[in-house]
Amino acid sequence: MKNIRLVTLSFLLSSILYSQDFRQTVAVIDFDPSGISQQEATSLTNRFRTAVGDVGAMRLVERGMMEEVLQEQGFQQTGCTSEECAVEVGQLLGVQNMIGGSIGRVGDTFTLDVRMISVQSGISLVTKQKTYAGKIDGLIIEIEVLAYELFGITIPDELQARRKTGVPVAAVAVAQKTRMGAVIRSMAVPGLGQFYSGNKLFGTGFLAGELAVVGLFAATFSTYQTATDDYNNYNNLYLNEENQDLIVEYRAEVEKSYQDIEASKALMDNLASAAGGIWVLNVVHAFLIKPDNSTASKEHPIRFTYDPQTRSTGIRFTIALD
Amino acid sequence: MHWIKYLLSATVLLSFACDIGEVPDLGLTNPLDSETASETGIETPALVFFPDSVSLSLGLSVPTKVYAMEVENLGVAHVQFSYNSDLLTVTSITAGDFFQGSQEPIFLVDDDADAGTIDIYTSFLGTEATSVSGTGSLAIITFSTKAAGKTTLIYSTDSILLDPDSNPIEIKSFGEGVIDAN
Repeated sequence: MKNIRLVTLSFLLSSILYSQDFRQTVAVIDFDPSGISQQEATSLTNRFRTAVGDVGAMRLVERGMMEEVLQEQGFQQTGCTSEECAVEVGQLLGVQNMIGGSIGRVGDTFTLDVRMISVQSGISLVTKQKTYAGKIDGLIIEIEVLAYELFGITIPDELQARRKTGVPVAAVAVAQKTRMGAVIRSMAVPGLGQFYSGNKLFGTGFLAGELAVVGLFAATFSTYQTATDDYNNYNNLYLNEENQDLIVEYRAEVEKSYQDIEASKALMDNLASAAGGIWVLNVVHAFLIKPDNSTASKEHPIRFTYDPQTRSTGIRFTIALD
Repeated sequence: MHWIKYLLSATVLLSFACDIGEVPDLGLTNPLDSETASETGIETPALVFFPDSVSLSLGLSVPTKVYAMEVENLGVAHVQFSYNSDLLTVTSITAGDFFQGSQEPIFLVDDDADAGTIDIYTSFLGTEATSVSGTGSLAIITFSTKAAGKTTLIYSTDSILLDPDSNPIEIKSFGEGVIDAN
């Protein structure tokens, strides 16, 4: 029964591998971990395997198919790190080439050693080594790059760009935007809730409007204070003056500054009402508009970066100016 | 619904913001101001005190001036007013500057501390003119407070203003002075 299933699987595998595609076939065995966990090595191998598929220079045997064949043969992939073992696996899978390697870690420096072996001859066709200093997250991109380099294929611009800009930090953890989040922000600073919700036009409008009104209020308050100071000064002079001419003069000044106080106060009241109106409108608007969550995960402002030329890591902060 | 507390807090803050600034009471209360006088029902010619209201601590002194306000052709004056002698003591009485000219004016004082009345007799002795016009002080009385309380200085209707020919000048109003010792 076991033999029948094996023959069926082998036939299926062969039919896939040789059906109208004359590219060579390749399979990737899990990289040997050293200084990192098996789980991390498996994840990185999977990413490498996907990258090999994306490169498209050879036809890749998928991991699921590979494991099924090996299980049927009672073969444990774990621990298969030598070239001989890789060749043996390749023969079982019926592929022409096998890729294996190791991922080592010393401190914050990682080494990647990858080799492609011809199953038929058992010799290494290509070997690539890479050293990377930084967080282990950065290996995700480096191992993709390694796949291209292994086949001598030019690294795509998109991958190059990702390599430069780094891996987004916890991109999946970006919080969803809510109406209440927008309302609270708008309560704190008019327009902030609109910016948060992605409505920059209204955000700018509310913020500019509020700032203009507050600016006018501040200017009027300054006038009010000047008028109040004048009023107090002239009123003191007026109350203590006995000279009739000076009494008339000070009285006129007192009345003028009093009128200025009244006018400033009236304007301040109006401006305060306007500021309050804009504020309330802004809060209501922030509540009514639906936050645009597409902008939430568009680009994370903090990224880990790795410069392959200087082999240095860093953290990049991004502020969108659009 | 925890956000409601933020909304309420902000609304309260906004309400306070609306109350920034206040308009003071227009305190044009100089007793020598003719406009203020007419607004408060003081017709001229009048006898008023300057200042007309003083608050001071117990034991301190305060000078109060007797003013003839907007009077024409004044040559002689007899001013009588009363005060509460239980609360105030007269420290000094000197001539004001209304009758000051090339010669010192005649200036006589009768302070009846028991009755709490002061009589001031003064006459202009100018060489180029025989009278003065306008508003000016006839006397400066310095009171000292001896007990806490409020006392009102009240002119007597026996006060007289005369022109150089001894014709009476009608005094249409009498102002009051208040001294509050505390």
